[in-house]
Amino acid sequence: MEKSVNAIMPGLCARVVVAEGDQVSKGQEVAVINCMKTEIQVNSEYDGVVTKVISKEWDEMQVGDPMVMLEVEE
Amino acid sequence: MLKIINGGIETLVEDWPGRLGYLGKGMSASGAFDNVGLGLANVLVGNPSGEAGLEITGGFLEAEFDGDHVIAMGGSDMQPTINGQPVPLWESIKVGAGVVIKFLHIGPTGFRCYLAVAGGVDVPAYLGSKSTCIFGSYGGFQGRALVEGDEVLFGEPSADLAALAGRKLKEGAVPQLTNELVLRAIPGPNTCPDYVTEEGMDLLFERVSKIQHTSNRSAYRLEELPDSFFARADGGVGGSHPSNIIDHAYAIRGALNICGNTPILLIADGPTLGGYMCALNVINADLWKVGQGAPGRDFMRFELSNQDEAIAARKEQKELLSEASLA
Amino acid sequence: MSQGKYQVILDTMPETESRLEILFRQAGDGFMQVEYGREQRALLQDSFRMLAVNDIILAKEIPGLIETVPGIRTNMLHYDPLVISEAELIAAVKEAEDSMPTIDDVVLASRLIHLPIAFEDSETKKAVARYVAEVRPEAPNVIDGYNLEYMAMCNGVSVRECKDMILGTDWFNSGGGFWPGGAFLWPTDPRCAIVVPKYNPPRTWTPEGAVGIGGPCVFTYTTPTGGGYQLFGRTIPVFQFSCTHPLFKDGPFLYRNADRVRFHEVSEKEVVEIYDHVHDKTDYEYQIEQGEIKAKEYIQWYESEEVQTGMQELKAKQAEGTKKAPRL
Repeated sequence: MEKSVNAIMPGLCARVVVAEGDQVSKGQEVAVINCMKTEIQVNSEYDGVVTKVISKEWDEMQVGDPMVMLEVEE
Repeated sequence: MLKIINGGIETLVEDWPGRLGYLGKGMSASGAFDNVGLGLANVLVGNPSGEAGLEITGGFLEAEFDGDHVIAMGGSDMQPTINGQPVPLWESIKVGAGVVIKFLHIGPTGFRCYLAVAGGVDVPAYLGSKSTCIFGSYGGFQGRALVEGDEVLFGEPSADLAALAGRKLKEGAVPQLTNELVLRAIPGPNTCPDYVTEEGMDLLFERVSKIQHTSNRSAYRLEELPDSFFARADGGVGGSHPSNIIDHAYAIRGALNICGNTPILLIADGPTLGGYMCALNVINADLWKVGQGAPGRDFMRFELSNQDEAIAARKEQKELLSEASLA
Repeated sequence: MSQGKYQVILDTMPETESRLEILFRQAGDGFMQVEYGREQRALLQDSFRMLAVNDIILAKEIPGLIETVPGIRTNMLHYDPLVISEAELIAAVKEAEDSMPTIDDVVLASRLIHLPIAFEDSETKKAVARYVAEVRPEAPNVIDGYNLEYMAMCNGVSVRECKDMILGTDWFNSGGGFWPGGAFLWPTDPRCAIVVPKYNPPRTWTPEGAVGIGGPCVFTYTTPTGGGYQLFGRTIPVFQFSCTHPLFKDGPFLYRNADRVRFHEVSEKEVVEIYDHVHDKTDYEYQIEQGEIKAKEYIQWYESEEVQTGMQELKAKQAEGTKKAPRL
């Protein structure tokens, strides 16, 4: 099943710290958003494999915007 | 007591009007960024409207109560739950030991949610206020944001918990949050003709500007102004840029500082003095709206105001933040 | 006075023999800026007079006046408009101004605080080293791992002369602000008025008690923080968050408006020991003398041939130094 890891804050994408094919586990840091001059960690809510990295550095993010796609086992 | 499971993005102890009287000592007032959200939540739980509560910025606070308390929330709707069940903002709710309260991300409007607890947050007042200055790391809860494991204490409620629970606001008392904040503002101290052109001031009051993602409790940054904004070529002895001036005190909270070409609204924890001109001040009764502007999402517009209107608005707000607002 | 919709000058007082024109500027519904003169200038005699008037205003204990925040040529009044009106506040300031009609009346209470300083101490050297390592590796203001050579270069003098100028004048606090407990300290003797550019970009860390200079002002760092002033030494604590030392029992601040600071050179060991006696043993005795500044006497001294000649000589050296020193 395909799931997304979404932005939890508005701001700029500072970086995505995983790549396609990476195995990620629930709670693992996937990306970082810059807001309020602070780096805000975006963690995966699932165990899964990264199928696509959507966000890149300097992208403007809004809450709920997908940053990374995962293939998650049912 | 409230035990923090997850402090969220930034959760601070704040009161209102904050730490007044220390601008000349380099200490801004700090205080609740949205004093209306905090104030109404306090009124609901029977506290003085300026009592200290938790300011939850960006969301994701999760915490567990260890005893009976009456709580209320105001501000941005972060879809709070109690033991997994959704609970509404703007009414007082009784909670007991073992109850877990959890906040999600910010709502479609607003950026900060306030949690008031009957009796108020019990932290030592520092220089007359329980507010946290996050910029200077003092006041509030050990001068910092709450983190996992912190235990937040509360004072004595003003009445029996049973009498304080289940209170609601009357119609019209709930503040309306929007994505375009309209802030009434008074020009000054640096305007036309000596500092800014009349066209520049017109532009400042006409344009809608996005709140930059770098905005925080010290400063809300807006989009750059054109060079034609300025009525002078440089700042003379004050500096090479026309926005420069010999250091002067900032009328904080609420001054719009022109720093280079960037207008910066100085609020809560912001600098108290510096070498840039200030073109307008948001009226005191509209400061609360700024705290609900989400950086990187919301917009800001200034509306020309004056002393009489600002004073009337202060009185209205005083009335709003009282038991008169209860249903 | 224009009557336009952006009109912000609420009232004025005309220039007199002893003071500049005064402009009352609107600054929102809880603040008013009192500005002295229309020219952007930073002269201590303006500050002396303004602070003397400020003392009179504060002594009135005006209901609704929350605080005053003096700069070098402006005074910001913070008030509650539900208690006192703009017009009443202006009237109170005018009364205070009128009570000081001549320059002979301008006498300002001013304490003299003696502060030990260790030049080129190891803590501020660490801050400079960290700047080079983490922020700007090729920073032109860092010569031999420190800022003193650069300060001397900018002013066309030697490092020893630079230190002697810092020790040779009193540094006047025109008012605090910007950072908790901070004070902007100006040289009272124009022959010691060294001027240097600030760091670009700023440092991320400076130790407590570091002493630096940026533009014309000296700043003694109250707590560890970032900063942009060129560092030349370290003094003793001038701020204490915990308020445990008797001097700080009423608040964490050492400095008051109109204080003068006089530095004397000591060893680093001595400075470090005093930290222990301020923060831990809380038995250090600060050397503070009560005193006053008579504006008339200061102006006569300032305008004397000896001082003016010395000032012009320094300015000539600075003009040469500025040509040689790299920009930041």
